[in-house]
Amino acid sequence: MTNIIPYLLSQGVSQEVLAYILLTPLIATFIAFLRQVVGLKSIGVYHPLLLAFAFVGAGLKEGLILFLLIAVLANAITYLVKKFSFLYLPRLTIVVTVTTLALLLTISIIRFSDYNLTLQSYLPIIIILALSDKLVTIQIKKNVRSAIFLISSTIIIALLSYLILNISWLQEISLSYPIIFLITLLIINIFLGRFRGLRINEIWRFKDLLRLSSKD
Amino acid sequence: MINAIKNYNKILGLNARNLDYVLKKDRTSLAIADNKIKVKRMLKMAGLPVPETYAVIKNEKDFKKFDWDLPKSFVLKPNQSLGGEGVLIVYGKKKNSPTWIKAGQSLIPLEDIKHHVYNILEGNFSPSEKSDKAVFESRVRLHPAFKPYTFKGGVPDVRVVVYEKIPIMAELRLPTKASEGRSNLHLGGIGVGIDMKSGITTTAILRNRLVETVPDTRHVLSGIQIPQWKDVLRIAALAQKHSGISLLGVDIAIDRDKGPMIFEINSRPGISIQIANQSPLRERLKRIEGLKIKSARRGTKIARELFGGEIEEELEEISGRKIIGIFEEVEIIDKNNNKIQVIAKIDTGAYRTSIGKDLIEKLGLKESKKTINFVSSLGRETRHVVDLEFSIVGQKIKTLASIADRSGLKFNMIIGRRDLKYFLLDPKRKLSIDGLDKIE
Repeated sequence: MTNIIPYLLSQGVSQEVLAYILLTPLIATFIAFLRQVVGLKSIGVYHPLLLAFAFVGAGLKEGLILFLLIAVLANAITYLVKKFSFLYLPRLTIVVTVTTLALLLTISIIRFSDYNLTLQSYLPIIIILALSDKLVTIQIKKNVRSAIFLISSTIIIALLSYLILNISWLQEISLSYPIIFLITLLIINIFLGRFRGLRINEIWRFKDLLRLSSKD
Repeated sequence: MINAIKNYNKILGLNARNLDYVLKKDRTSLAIADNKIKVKRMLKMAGLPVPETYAVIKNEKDFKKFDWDLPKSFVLKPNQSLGGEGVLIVYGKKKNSPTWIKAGQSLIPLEDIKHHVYNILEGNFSPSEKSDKAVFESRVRLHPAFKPYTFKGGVPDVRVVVYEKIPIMAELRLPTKASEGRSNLHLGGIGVGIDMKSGITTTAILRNRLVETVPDTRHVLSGIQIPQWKDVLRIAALAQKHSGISLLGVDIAIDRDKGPMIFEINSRPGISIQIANQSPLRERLKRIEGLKIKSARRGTKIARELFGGEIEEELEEISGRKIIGIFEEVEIIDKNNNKIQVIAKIDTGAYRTSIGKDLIEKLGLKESKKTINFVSSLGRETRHVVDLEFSIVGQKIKTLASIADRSGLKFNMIIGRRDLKYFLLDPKRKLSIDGLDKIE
């Protein structure tokens, strides 16, 4: 089992790809921890995870700019398309298509030329486009206040995950001891899965109740 | 700090709620609980009161055929939504114009109502994001008891958290302008804790912070009596029983004419009710762990006995006296210093405590050599007395009680005003369940 990594490397799989594959469960664990123990909220678990990888692929600054651009465009276009009644899936596709068009136009207008937006980084754009649908529905569902809160905490979690993905010694550890690494994550998650305690934000929320002296 | 550590395990957080209560539910009950149309059918079958449904729009075909001749006031709900999301409350209509007035006072033209229905059908409010149905139902008319505290057009309700037929904690939820008539706390509603025994409100919160008054009108939020309190608790307990979900939040709105009605049930009750009541939930849940309760009526009784009494405690604290009812359990010390329990009647018309001859014999107490002259409606008489030591609700009393022949009378002991100076008498107060069992 321990020879898996050297074998894969010898077969021509790049070290970077392997490291990111191994770090994916770590990021998922990290997000689970932030949600179960700290009490941060995010849109799903995959959203911040995918967004973190989009940041890795596109670069942090570019990734953020892309995210904001697509979020604004998708919302505006959904708003326009809503006026006509279309069935759900075709309408979604219409939004994606028009957003892509608008995105291309915007990119060329603000001369993205000095950014590395070559074919290598088409995936981040697709990831963010796929996520944009959720950004739109969340605003219909929640009031503006909680929608903004949810979206910004998703971005913050994605940013933290991005930072973890870039820690070189973590990449090295995961590649050197892949089995121990994964089993450790499993154990952490088993504990997280049975954690009954108050979340850190709940301790804050219940601070008055915690201070209350019991009568008996 | 030590308090904080002690209290940490008494509070129910989301993790513990999900692990211990939500995840243990069986799936079919849960599927019903998250579907408002099915819930309503189930509650109706059980004979429980629910608001009337005007119309259901199931799909686009229904949507196109629907005649939009809507009543002046109604509630529009997605069939599957959580936490009041997508619930629209309308309480008036403009004259000569297809425009309605939302609770919270903004206007909503028919076009926007249609758009809202369209959003519901698309599943934009449903947690699963699958297409959904839109339900129109009658708006519960505001009860005068809540009028001063409710923003115009809103529907206040009482959230009762019930575990296995025992109501655990309750909270009055008052809509504000920000919450647009909905009573959900996270949408900006006010949560007011309720004393389980009396149904009188205690402490209140707005957005997780303690408040004493309604922000705009300055009406004091404590001391509100919930109308038909016992019915509210019983209906909540019955709804839980029929839902098959062990820990259930039941929202009961009280209609001006029709009384309590189940507005919604919630399989994942929110935890901020603990802040509104300034009391932790997990502790209460632990206190009733393993109890098997047969009926909702019994569960309600236990709840009021076990979790109520905050208002009484407050009164006792202020007055320095204990509250008792007309009938109380008394512990008398017999000749061997054992405590013997007796049910006594409190009689403020009598001066001296009086005790039956048989009972004195049973206790093995000796008559005092003194006698006392009595003046009563029957004339003048001389009675024997006895030195008596007893306690009511933990308060010890030493007195000289008269001995009377009480055979054939229901109570073997009456307590007169001479021995009542440490108490406040509440004629409505009922004997505890243990005591009742003894009489029966």
